[in-house]
Amino acid sequence: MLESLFPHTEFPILDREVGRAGQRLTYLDSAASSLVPERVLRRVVEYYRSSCSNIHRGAHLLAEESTGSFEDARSHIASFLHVGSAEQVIFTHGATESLNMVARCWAAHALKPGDTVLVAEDNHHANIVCWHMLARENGLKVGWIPLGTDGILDQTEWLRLLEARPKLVALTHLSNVLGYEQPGLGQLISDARAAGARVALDAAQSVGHMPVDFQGLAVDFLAFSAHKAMGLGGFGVLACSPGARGEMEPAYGGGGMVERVGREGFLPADAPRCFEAGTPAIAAAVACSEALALVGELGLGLLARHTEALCTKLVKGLAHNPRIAVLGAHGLKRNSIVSFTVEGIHPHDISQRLSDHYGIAVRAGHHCAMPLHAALRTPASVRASVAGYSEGRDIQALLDALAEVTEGTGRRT
Amino acid sequence: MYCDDPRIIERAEAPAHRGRLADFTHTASGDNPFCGDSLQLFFKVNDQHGGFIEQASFDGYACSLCLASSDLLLDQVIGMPVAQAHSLGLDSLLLLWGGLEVGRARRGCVELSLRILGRALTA
Repeated sequence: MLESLFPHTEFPILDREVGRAGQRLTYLDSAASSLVPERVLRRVVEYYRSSCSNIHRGAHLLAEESTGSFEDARSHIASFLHVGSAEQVIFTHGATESLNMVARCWAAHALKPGDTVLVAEDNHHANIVCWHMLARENGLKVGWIPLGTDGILDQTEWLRLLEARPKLVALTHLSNVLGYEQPGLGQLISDARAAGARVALDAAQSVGHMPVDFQGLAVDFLAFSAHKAMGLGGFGVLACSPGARGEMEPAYGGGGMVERVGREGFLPADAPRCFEAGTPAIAAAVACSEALALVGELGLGLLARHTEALCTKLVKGLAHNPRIAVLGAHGLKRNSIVSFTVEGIHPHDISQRLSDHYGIAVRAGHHCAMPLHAALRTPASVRASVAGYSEGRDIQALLDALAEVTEGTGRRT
Repeated sequence: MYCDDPRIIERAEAPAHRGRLADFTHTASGDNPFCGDSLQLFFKVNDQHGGFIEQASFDGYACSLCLASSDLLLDQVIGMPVAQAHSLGLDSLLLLWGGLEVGRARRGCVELSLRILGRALTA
């Protein structure tokens, strides 16, 4: 049956009629941004109605409550991710800023010209462009861990690349296009560490969707965005190992990140505050904690099994359509994302037709993963992505619509 | 016990360890930018017996909670091995007060002297 894991009332947006003929919304774009449950929205409203205030700046009751909610969120997120201590959790504006901070706050100080950063080809641009930028400015070398046309990182080439003694390896936990964890990811991380490299992991598609254990993964940096885990946009996290954090310098200056400022200079505050200049997205931090609490109560294992089952149903269904090719390796469990191409029809045209005539929301394009698409020798794809509120009927609606569209009997735009 | 407890006010108004040690061996300063507190701590460390704190004092501008907590902390660390003083944390100080309840916004006021102590004895 594969019904929603949440009460229907948690997501009233799913009652919207969005197609030209008033079709029910079929939301299959959760990897871009997940829907926000009512419980999280209530928490945000409660925060603004009762405690709205800045943090760490006043001694009045509202400031106290606001500071408490904000720092409680940090402690909860640290615990949720098994980070070790709340001081290792830096709040950012999203995974992209988190990964840029790895480049700006860590690599720009810890690395020297000529040092190598290895970037896996299945990364999102967030874990690619920041390294290109730093290479241009600081003379770092960017090496690539190639992705085969089968959607698997080239292990032989990886071992050869390690001989160059990279200082950082940039990996993704779950590809935002392929939807799966690379086979042997743990070994990759272990190899990287044995070679003396630090590891930056983009966990934007895994946190809130499956169990994620920062200490178990043994990475130095882990980034995610709240809006992909049923939280609000504009908020994210960078979790750091104690060793890596000790090598970081603040990149942004301003209020909240200093202990002392004078004409002669400034003294930064202790971490993590020295990395959080200005007033942060307080309500979004509270919302993120609430969203993670919700999936934690539900059970991350159950959630992962649910979304994997939906992906399996989709992959099996697509296999019956000779004009459709699913991207990536066969036989690997896709957590919440399936991307595919349709012979003879551009992904944007598919996406537009699905939206206008079937009320189905999917994403089309390169999904901020151009090197990945180049490695798979396809310029763009259609991506369907699910979450705990997605259902078997959503997948069936997509399969039925694609069958009509590809058979030429589909409703025309 | 709350931040406006008479014991805190009394200690803040008449601290036992306020002033500048003439013959200090270690010192450091620190600020709490959120409320403007700015303190300097002074320690005279005796290297005998593995190193212990013989004398300590503080000076500067701070709120009642910060002044009183600094004074209480120095009360405790005088005579203490340096390593033991290093191990003191926020919870230790709250316990010393007898279970002080302090919210997140004022925690920095209690922690300031602890942070400076760590800095001074590490230097």
